Amino acid sequence: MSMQAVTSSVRARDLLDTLAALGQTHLVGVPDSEFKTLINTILEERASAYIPAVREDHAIAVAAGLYLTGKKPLVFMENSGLGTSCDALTSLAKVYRLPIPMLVAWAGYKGEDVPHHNVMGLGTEALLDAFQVPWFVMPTDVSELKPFLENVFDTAYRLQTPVAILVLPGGITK
Amino acid sequence: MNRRDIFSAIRGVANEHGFVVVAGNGLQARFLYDVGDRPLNFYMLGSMGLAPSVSLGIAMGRPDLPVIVVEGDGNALMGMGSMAMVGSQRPARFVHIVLDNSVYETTGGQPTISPAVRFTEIATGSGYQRACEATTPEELVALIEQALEAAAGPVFIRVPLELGEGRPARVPYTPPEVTTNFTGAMSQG
Repeated sequence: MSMQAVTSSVRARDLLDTLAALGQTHLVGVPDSEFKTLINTILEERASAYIPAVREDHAIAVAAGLYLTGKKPLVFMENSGLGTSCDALTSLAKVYRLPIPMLVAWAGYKGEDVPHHNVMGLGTEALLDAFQVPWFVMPTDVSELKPFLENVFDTAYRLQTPVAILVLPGGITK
Repeated sequence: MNRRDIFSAIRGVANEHGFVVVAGNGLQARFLYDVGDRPLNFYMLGSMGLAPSVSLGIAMGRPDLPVIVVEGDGNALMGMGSMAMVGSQRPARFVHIVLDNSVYETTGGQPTISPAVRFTEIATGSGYQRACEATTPEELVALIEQALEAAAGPVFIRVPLELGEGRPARVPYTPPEVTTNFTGAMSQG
């Protein structure tokens, strides 16, 4: 998506470096345009950590397998993928108590995007609430990034639950 | 072949060689438990179609451990995209077994569309190193051992399955117990 909902943003480089510093071992998911630079950078620098998934529910399943072996995977997707992932969230990640963080691009934010994004855009928070998946909006100020992510990962592990990090349109740049 | 024979054979070869065994939801998970629980088993209780992808994650996280995933044809049809992921990542010692009876057994035996599909060709087409069929427990064990020995990439085995076998009780673990049991086994080596 190409809309911008923010006046500042986090550089993909800073996000990747912070994730690595916090021990994330793998990035697995289906690309969204919001993650273009993030993915291209990881492909250049740490390709073995990147796992392309065919569908977002399969991304969560692969992440589940990685977590079960002691790894710290992060899933990424557009919020359309939350719809695709409902069963993986409700019958795998939640009930098996798997602390999987998901970076979710917020397409259809405020319903002001292309039509096929807007129903999910307006329903994203309610969907996550319905499944008791804690969600957090990623800050656009890099100085807040590390404490934010530490808190998100700590919440995931403490509550033994998947969590969603919602990325506002334009929230990550080169 | 029937499931009891299949899972007994799998249990034997799995114990001998230290395989992780993942069973898809439905009767596969129940029979895997029923022939004898083991720490390296992972039971999918829901998430139809996702067993091979969970197994792929396990294989990628612990490349030192060989992995067997067993699912029914309904599961395989639902999660067919996972075969492309398995084929593209090519875990070296990964055996994907589909027990094919062409019905959704736990919901009352309604037909699946598996008769229209050639799973072994889809596996080969998805990048599996080898795809074959087994019609006896001895054949199944031999194919699994060959896959282990070759360590050359994922192997797919279709097993035609009889109908009309008894149905064991549900796996007695809650999902968090399945997680705790498995992660406990992982941390022990």
